[in-house]
Amino acid sequence: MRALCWEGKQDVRVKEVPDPEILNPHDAIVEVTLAAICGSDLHLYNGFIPGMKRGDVLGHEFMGVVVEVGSAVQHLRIGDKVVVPFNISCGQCASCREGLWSLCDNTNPAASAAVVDALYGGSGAGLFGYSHLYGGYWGGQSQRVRVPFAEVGCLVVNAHRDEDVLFLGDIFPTGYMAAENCSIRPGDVVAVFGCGPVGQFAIRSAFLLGAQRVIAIDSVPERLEMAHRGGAEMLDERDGSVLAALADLTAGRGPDACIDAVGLEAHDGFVGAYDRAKQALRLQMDRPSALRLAVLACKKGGTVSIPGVYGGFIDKMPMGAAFGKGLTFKMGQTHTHRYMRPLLALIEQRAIDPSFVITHRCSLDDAPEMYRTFNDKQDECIKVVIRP
Amino acid sequence: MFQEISRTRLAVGALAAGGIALAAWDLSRRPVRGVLARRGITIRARRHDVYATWRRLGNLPRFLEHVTEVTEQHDERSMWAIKEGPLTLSWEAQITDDVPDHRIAWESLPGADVDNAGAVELYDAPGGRGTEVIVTIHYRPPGGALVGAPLRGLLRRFTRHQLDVELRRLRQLLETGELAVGAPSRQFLPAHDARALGEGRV
Repeated sequence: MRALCWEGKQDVRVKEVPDPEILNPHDAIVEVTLAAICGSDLHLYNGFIPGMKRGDVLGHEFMGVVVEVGSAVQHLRIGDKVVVPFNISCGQCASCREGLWSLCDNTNPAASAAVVDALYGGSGAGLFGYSHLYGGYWGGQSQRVRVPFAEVGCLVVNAHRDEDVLFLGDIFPTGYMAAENCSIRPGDVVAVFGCGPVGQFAIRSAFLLGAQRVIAIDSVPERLEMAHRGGAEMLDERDGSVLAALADLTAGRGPDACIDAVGLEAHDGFVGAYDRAKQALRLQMDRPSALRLAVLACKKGGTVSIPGVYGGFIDKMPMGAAFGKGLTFKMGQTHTHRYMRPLLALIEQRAIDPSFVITHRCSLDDAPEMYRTFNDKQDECIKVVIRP
Repeated sequence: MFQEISRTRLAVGALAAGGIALAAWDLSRRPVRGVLARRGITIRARRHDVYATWRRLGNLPRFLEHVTEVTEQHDERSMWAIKEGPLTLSWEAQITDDVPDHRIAWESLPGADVDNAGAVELYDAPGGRGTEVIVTIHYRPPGGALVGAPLRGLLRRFTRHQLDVELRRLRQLLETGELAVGAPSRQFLPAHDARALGEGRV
């Protein structure tokens, strides 16, 4: 089959690779009909994440058609169209049974889970296309994928258009959980830092969950405009002090909740990676600043919700402000499985059309070029989907 | 029992890296002392099922990834083999304590390629959380006291880490009936995973 492979920093190529096979009884093979490039793929692309190997197949947002199933798969049928969640969950462990699907105890293979355990004191679920720290599972920017525990994860969407439901596998649930973590009450003002795809879904989800106002913060005009089309007020960080503006926009209260949809992505407990990331961040992204601003801006007693990915250590966290204002922090990888069905219902009720976020469509062959475009924020690129 | 063996294999690797020949092992001292490692895991399974899985010694190579083969013999004895390239370490072990659903302890018999002893202990986890599995491993670092002492701390950390890997494999098999593997197909599977796949529930 053909697949998009990680070959090194800012080097992804489409290559011919061996077809995936059923290895375990709960596996399925899915032939990909639509995949996406996620913002978090850029951190693999830019070499921030350790544990990548040459030839790894990227892509954790994908959907397709079931073409083969393992011996223990009972309810999925050959020919079913499915959306696959980005995290792999067994459905049997203590974490899955509590609904903490992204913390599955069993799907990060033992060798990599033990490494993450040594760094973090516990390992989350295995992830598609997201380094050998999370299992080295091949991803969906390819023609076929081996999907473990297929019946636990796959959402059957036979009656739906691909572009309407693709994002149920990651960014819609991620934005939704970020908003849900804000414990929104009537009258609440929510500030969303970062208007990439997750921020866009967080904005719309905050309104769905009853927010009175959403303030969207970014510096990229087309992203602010897309946020505005979703009902948010635009705050361009280039226009001056974000803190002062947020205080003014809330008459001194501060936002009731702040969502950090930027993240750090500079990874891992390894000191080398940390230093490299710090350098890169200063040059380019300055990402921990979003979290610091969120803490400083947030109302007393408010909530800081963090869907943006963090991997290692951060400097100069204003912990005194967080403590002094009695803030609540909520964070973590999305428990995607928990949200897929309820959010599909919202799509069916036409409460939201997730395809609004798509700005670019391409073939697998053009995907390497689209990585560059997306990474450089050229051509007003916000979200790329690939039809392999 | 096989846990120790795999630990031992790691010790062998560390030693080989140091350029010290296997022939230098001092096998004269007993009982087993030296490196002690302990590790626990909580498994969503009944104590009885964890015990039964461990007690069927032929199961052990599925989750003790460095053990190639275990054959049960008479009188609670068993033969173990680790095959790594041209090198084979083999080993006869004896169960020294066997309390159904609670505890299994073992010890290597004289003539073992590596002296070892260990125990697995099972407790009910609080609040219906399943079974707490605590594994303790003793083994003597190769090279006797002179080499063994400096290596001990390193080996203990190594062993503890390796125990984590192997107990995670046990949990995967007991909770889900399969071993989590990231490989897309058989050609990418490490040998110990290929050996452990596709044999049904433990």
